[in-house]
Amino acid sequence: MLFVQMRFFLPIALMLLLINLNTATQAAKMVPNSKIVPIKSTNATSLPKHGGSLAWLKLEKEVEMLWEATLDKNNPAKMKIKHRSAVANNVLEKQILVLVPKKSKSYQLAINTLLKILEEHGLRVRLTLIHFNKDPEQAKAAVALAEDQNINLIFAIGSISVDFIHEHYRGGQIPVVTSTNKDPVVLGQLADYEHGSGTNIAFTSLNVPINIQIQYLFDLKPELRTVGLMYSRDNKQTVATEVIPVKRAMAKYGVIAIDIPVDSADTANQDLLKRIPEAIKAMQEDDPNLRESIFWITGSTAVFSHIKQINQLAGNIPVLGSISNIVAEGDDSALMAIGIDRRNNALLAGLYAVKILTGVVQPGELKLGVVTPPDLAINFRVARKIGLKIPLHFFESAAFIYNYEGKAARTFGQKVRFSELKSE
Amino acid sequence: MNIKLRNILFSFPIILILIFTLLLLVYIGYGEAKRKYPKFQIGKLESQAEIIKNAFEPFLQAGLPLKQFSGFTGLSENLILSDVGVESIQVRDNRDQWVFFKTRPELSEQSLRDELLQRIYEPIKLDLRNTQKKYQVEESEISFRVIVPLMGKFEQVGQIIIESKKVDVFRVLNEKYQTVFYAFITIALLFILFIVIYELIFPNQKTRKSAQRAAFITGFLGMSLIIGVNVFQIYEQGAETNAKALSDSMAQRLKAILELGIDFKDISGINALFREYKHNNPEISEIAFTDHGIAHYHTNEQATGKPYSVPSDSYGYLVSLNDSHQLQVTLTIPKDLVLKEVLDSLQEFIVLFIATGLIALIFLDSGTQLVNLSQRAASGSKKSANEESYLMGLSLIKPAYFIIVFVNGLPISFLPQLVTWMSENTPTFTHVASASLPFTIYYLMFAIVLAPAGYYAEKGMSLKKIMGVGFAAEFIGAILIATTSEYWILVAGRFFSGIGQGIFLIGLQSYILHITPKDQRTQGAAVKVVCKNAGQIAGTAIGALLFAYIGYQSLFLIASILTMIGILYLWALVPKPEKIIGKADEITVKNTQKKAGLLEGIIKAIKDAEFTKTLLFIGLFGKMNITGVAMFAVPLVLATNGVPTSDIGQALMVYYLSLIIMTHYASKVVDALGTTRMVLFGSALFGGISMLLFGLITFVEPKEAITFPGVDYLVSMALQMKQLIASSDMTNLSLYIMLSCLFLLGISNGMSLAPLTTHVSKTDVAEKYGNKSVTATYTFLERSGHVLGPVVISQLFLLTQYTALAVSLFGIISLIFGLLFLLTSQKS
Repeated sequence: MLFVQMRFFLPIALMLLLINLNTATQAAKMVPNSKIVPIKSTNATSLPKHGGSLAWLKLEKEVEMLWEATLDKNNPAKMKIKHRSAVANNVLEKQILVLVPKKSKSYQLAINTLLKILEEHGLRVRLTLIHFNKDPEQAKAAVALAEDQNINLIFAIGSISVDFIHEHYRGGQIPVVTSTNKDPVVLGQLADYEHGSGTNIAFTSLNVPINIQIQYLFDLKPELRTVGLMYSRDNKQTVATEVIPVKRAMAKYGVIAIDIPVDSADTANQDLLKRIPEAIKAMQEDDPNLRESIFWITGSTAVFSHIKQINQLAGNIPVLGSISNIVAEGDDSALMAIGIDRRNNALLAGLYAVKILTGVVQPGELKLGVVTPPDLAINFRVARKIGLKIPLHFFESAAFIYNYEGKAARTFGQKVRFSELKSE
Repeated sequence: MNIKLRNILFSFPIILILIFTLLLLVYIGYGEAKRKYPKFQIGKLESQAEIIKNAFEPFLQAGLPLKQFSGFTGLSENLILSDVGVESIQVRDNRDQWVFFKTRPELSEQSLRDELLQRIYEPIKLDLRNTQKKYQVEESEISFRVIVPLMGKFEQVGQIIIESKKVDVFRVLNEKYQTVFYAFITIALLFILFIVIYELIFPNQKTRKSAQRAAFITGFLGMSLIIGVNVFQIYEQGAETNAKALSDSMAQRLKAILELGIDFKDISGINALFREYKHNNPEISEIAFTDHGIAHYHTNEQATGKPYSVPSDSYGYLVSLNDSHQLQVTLTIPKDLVLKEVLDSLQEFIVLFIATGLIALIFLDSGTQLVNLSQRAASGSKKSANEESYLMGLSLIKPAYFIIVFVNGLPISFLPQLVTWMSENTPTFTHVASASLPFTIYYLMFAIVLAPAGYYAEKGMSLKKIMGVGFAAEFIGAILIATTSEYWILVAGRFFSGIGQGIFLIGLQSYILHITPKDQRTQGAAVKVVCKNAGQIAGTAIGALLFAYIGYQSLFLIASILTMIGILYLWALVPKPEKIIGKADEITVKNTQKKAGLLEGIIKAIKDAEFTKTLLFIGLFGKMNITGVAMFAVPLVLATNGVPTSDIGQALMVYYLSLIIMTHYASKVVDALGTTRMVLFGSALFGGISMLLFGLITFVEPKEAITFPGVDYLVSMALQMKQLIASSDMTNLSLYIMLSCLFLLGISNGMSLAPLTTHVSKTDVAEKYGNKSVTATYTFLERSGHVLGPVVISQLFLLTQYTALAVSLFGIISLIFGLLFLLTSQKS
């Protein structure tokens, strides 16, 4: 009898065991080396009141017509945003927690873009924004609250938020999408560009992958020999995500990278004044006519705020950078920016959020969200001044173009009308 | 009635034939132009859509939403106003909602939007071979549209749809083709005038045939030339339109530089752009950017810096990039491209020439005989009927036989595919419905009716009536299929066709026997052979061509109309045998005496080993080969390989032509070799090899593995052969091999027809009981091969997962049986 029963149950037991094993293996695959940090529930419905204020955060006009933002009267670090149209009773509204580490115009742009994407995809979502003021404890409290309130997604804005999530909430219950953050591969948060995290985090990046950036540089200067690399030593993230990878990649392509560091924003003026001529001298050793050399400005505000001075010192050597802001109207502009517009990064992050909220994919399956092709901005006034030809495909794909007068001729991919040019 | 007037009246059939052949020429020419012309127009629509796409994409690539683009109105307005062929330009988002919409100023936007929602679109059915289709092309009943995806920074955000009404697409074609229509009327009138003048001034019986033939050929060639020139001009216009659209698209990209106030000197990579554009649009021969007439950029870098002019062997289209016309971009397309398209159509015209030539051969002869008959009847006033010669009778019966064979040949190139499709989709008796059934039914009925029809012919029933019944049955068969898409009605149609063809054949044979003197029987037999082959070739070729334009139902309708004309012709113009020979029932008595011995004859014959071996190893296979392989499997396999019906018709023509040639020479070969045994073995050998090769070359791997033993060896042979062909430098090698196989198959079948009868007539049983009765018995038994052919091939298809290896297997069996025949048959 026992044998009969065993004959009946044994295959089922084996099957269940196999299913179990398989599930466990899948889980292990999904969360490689994951360090699940349980965030203890606070059982609280509100946050401690020592976060920053979100009063600076404004919705754009067209967004405000559709979404209503309410700052918490008792806690200015908290803001609620909901769609203005009534939601039918039987529709389950999704909820997003937005983690904001500090005051930033880029973050405001990211939030506005997220709302536009949600609207475009017809998603009625309730958002809770928490300004955690770079304080991990505040962030922990916010995440705990999110778990309590069955929030569907966390939208982590800025590298500080992403660092926090990676450190303290990797493998957590709630899916996370990152936005406006530095390259997580370079920072060691993600293994590579080809695979998803396998955890609850879907990463995006503000950086153009180095190999793509270098390809553009070679399109511009096929015989490129030397690159003068400008950065600020005190901007650790930029050093980690741009300077070191660029130098490593340049070496691989046989291009000599010459350091032009500034110590801080305060000393930048003096540092550049001294180090650019030194760098030019060093460049001339490999490229006597300086025809196959460029200057590359990394995303350090301390450096790119001195563009006028850099242009003067660079002479006819093209000055390029990864931040679109360095290309602007007039003479005080770099020749070209090969980077990622923050708006596009936020757009991609918004699309990731939509895909996760609608159940199309799991966050761990989404490979790093990189904006390709990169966003280009070109100043033809500068190009003519230094006698450089711009490849046609750069011209065709550039979102921002400034003409010989230094005026904007194309913005956001669309021609600026003559009347607009005149009126300016 | 005045003799001249009577002659003119009796020339009416010849005029009709000219009009019919010219109309056919005009129609096929129009069909060809209609088939090829839209691809130029679609190329133009693609380039126009690209202009819109190029304007949108930098904006979308900047990550901005589709609806915020602001340049649509101006851009689309320019395109619509410069091209009357464009009905609307639409931009739709991913939810298929209109974001932008532009239509012609004379059309109401709202009513067009409503109308567009009613249109049902499907992928374009036009033959766009040799065209690099870049985007999705669809058609509704009244329009074509090109759909171009609009890519945002991360995903597709919408699509551009540019739509053109078919009536506008074909407007230029129709306008130009009017010339051809007028030419047709002129040539027809000139021919009539010629006939009238000839009959009024030189009504000479001896020169009539030559004169009419010369006038006919002149008219036919003249019409062909006019059509050729016209089609060339139509393609030329299409190519120019396409070149203009391509130039506009390229110019738009270059203008974008000027519009932002940027100088070309500050931009690099324009030559690379030209090369890339040329690569993506292979019809372009060169692109040049000129400043004051000097080429600054050119696809051929050696031409840079030199004065530019459009090469004489190209069509060029020039677009000015600025108001002062200093900066221009010129794009050229080789004139060869147009010529190539015309030459592509030439294949169809050659087939048509052969087919119409055969029609003319039959009908002109009959037509002149008719006029001669009228002339003689009128001038001899009271001459007796039996003075009308048998030759005239033979000439006049030819068109009737030709018509019924022609009608039967019309569906050969597409019937197997049609039947297969219908059998798979029939809702009733699905377990019995098969692709081979209508073919088996046809040949079965054909064989069954021979005996009773022969009986009635011998009993003295009017032979014209018998042939009339044949026509009537064929008419029912054709009209049934013309009015249905139901499998079982098609089976019924083939049932009646089989009856019709069988009855008519008996009527015809008896008619020829009646009117032809004993010593002139060869001429009688020749009439049968010529009409059968000419009708089959012309019918198959024209059927295949027309099918591409009008579909099967219209074609069967034409078949039924032709059958009706055949009945009328038979009734009105074919003389009764008694009118020719004056003796009513002489043969009836003789044949009745023979009939009693048929069954007995069969038993006696099959007891003869050589007779049975010949029948089993060669004869039956030869007939099965014709109906199972050539008529059934070949069109089916070719269609599976994606060969269009018109080309299938042409491939079958190769088979028929080699069959006719070999039939003609086979008896001479037998005489030369002095043996039939080797010729018959040769027939099996050639047939076997050709079928084996044909199956291998046209093999397409099935979804499920073939389990039939030994076939895996054939599969690997087929795959190796395909690899070998793919590695060869010779283009279209597999096509040539395939055509050679069909040619060889025709040779094989041609080799066996006459020698088989000779071989059988030399058997012991034939010597003992008489040649005629034994060969008649043999012919009767051999016909079962016709019936079995489609059945056997269907079973082989089933065993080989419906692949062409069925034909290979049949070839192998044929080889084995041929070898058995060689080893066991007696040396003659």
